[in-house]
Amino acid sequence: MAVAEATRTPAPAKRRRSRSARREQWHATGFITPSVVGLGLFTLFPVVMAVVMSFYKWPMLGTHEFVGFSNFSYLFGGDPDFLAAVRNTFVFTGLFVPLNIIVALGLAFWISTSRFQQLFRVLFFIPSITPAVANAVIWKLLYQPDGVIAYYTEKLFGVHAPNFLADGHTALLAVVVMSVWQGFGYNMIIFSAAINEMPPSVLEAASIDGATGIRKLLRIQLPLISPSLFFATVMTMISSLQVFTQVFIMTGGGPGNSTETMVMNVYQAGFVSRDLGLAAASAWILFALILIITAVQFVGQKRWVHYEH
Amino acid sequence: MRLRKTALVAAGLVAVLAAAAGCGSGSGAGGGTKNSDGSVTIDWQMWAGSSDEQKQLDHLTKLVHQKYPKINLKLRTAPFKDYFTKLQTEMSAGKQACLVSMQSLRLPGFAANLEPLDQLAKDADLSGFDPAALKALKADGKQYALPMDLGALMMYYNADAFKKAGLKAPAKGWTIDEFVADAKALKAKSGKPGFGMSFSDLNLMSLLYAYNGAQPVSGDKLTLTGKKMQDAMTWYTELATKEKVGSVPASSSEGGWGETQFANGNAMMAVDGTWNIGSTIGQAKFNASVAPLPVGSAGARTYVANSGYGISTNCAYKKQAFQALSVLTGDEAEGYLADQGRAYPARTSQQPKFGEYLAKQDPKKADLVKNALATVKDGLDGSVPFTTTQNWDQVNQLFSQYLLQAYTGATSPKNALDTVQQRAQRGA
Repeated sequence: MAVAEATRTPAPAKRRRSRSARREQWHATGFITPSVVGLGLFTLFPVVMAVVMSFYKWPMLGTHEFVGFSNFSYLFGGDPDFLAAVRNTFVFTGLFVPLNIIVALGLAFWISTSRFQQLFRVLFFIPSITPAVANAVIWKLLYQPDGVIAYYTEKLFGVHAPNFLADGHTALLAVVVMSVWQGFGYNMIIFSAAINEMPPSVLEAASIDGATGIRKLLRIQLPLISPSLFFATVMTMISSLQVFTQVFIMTGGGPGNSTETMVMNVYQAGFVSRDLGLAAASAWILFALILIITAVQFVGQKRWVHYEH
Repeated sequence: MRLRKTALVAAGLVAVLAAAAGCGSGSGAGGGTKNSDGSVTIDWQMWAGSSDEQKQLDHLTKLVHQKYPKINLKLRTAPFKDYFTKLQTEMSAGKQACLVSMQSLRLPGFAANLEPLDQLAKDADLSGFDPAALKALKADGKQYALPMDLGALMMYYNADAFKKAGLKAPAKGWTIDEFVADAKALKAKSGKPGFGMSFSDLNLMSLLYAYNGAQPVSGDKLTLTGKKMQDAMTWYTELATKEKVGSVPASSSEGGWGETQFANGNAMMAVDGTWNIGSTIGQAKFNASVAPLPVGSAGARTYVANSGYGISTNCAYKKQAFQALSVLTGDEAEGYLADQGRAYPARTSQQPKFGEYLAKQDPKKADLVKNALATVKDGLDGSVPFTTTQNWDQVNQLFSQYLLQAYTGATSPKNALDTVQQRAQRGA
């Protein structure tokens, strides 16, 4: 900076330029004002407000008072459900993200050689564009004790199916299965596009060198689409840490707290217990976790994501 | 220089934000406005889910204006499921309407923001209301709202299934033991559960109350750990785990499980409110009927629940609001709502109109409905208002999550109750 300053042209020219620069600056200010105000009003202000609220006892009705870190210490020490919610969220993410990526990737490769690729893309994408609430309601019916799944396991295998969503051992798994069905379409589209964009010259060179099957997949194709893989993983991870709709509709967090997730915990603190301070604190912990995990992914990507073809 | 500019921008941003946060206040304070011609416009907050309901409410506002030309009611509606959340946020901002519609269950949580009506109603004649309806809208011995309707929890039963199993239809004086025996016989005959279980407050707790007089709330405290409550919950749970006659909800989000299973013909009995007599009997593909809850060791028992209208404490026009209130809960208004099939009136003189409406709706089932309504009087025997704690939404949520575990046998009824009791402490 200092060096650049020193090599600048003499004073008069500098003043002239700075006058025009100043005018330009005013124009720029004019142009960015709407978006800065919008960002400030609808993003920064609520975010800051949430931080402030997390240090208050802030009931929906009545007066609020400053309580320091007591909301946070309650979450980690007193709240019997918060740590369970963190655990459930990580179990959900740990199952959902890999399954989602594998299914999406598998189907994307499978349809990449098909004549009906476009048709399949549309078909597999349908669950993703159907409202999640509708999907969840339908799956809830499927899982019922006298529902379709129970009927066929009984008829085909003679096995008496559990009451999937009322049994603490199966409820979260049932939600994961439904979520994978609903969520893989979006990633499949991304992967499918990336697969179609793989440079033929590289693939050809690989075949000439004798790379086939699993080796070609792991060494050539996956590295070629690694930017898409990275993008899909990051986005899926973020959205799965925020899982709410399916759980809310299908299990209501029960039985017990076996399917209570972190966002569910925020919702219950804020809109069921009406303790907005506690909800804000809980939401902030979720935000911090997402930030850390995403940051780790970005650091880790240097090892496996290849941007140049 | 640069620092100053940053400071300026920051100050500007803060000013904009402050303005945004502050804007909107100043309008509607006091829940109404005085107009230049001396008349008063009073805000009235009510739930409405359809254009029909909206029309009915508009008609009521006209009735008020006819009787008191100097009063105009301005309706503010929200769907029922959002109504109380909205009311809460408005109350915390001090922007609630003058006239506030209130449900008996929710009353304790909102009483602090409602005006006790005893003084205003000093000269009013309240004898036309069913006493049970008035009582349900009291808290701490004070009348906080006047009733629009009246409902009680009763037993819905599949009359066809009872006939097929050769059972006598349940009627007044039917006991808990007979209820269990009937449920078993129905299960044996039809292969379907005899009773649709529930973890929803009214549907569940009314049957526990009927079983041995156990109540979940005493004063405004949650009391789930008493011996009576444990016994009652154990009995209820064993309908599923031991007697195998209960249909267990498929998940914690199935708040209306028992009633829905009943209406679909998948369970032969279920507890539900009288407010669903018309819709359930009309929609069922079988002959459905209603009986008082079975009588247990404490005599005939059930809960009543209803809705009404109150006046908020910050209302600037309380006298006018009470005048409007007396019209809204008057004979004409309640008779009109009964005619429209909206509610079973709290005014005894208007109650027959509701039966006439239901009979008109479905002439084929007119007798069924009339018989059902005739039992409502019996069903009100030994009825008390269902009272709740301030954090009732939270308790309900806990019921849904933890009682289900007892029904499936994953935990004991005592454990489930203890867990709910313990977790509800913080919000209490």
